[in-house]
Amino acid sequence: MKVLFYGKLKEITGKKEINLEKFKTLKELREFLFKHYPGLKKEVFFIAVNQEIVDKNIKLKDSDEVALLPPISGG
Amino acid sequence: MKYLINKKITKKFIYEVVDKQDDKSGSFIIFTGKVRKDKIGKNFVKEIIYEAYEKMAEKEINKIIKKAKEKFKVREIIVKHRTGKVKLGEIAFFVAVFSAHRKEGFSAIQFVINEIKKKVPIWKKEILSNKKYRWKERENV
Repeated sequence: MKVLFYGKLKEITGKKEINLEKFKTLKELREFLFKHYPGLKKEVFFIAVNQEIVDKNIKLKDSDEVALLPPISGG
Repeated sequence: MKYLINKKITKKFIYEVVDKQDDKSGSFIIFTGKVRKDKIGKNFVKEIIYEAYEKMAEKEINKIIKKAKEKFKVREIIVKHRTGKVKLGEIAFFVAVFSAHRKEGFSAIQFVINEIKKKVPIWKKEILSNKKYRWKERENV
């Protein structure tokens, strides 16, 4: 699956996008991200799966697009 | 892209929108949000880099427009939001609402602006006069 980082989160991970496989749930993915990018633990962010905000531990597919979004500040 | 643009929102563009007011639209309301010269300590905001999750932003703006049209019964809503570098004084955000009467037009434009600021994944990176930058925190809407 594709994992995208935006705003300040992109600077913390040093990456705009990574490709990952074999994560079955959002919880598993979140644990992996926190382990590899510990700086994320201090940040407030939302997660979107296929462009929809998700606040539960849902199942993931390799074809999903996951995005980590800092609090919105547009307009 | 329909709503996000990476080039200037010009006066020519605004006049073209003004010309779209038809005989059934008694009211036409326009909002432009510009990059403001905010003072930060001894420095000021020189430009803003707008970053967007484009695929999701387009979908969210579309949903907001649809909802506003149903809720306020307005005739047409036009939204443009800049991405990339926007200099001090340039328009970053544009909303126009056409409606039969002004009352529903004002309600709709407030709704659209607030919802976009709340729900559309766009972030502001403020570049200051001393060339440092800061990611803007969300404002109250």
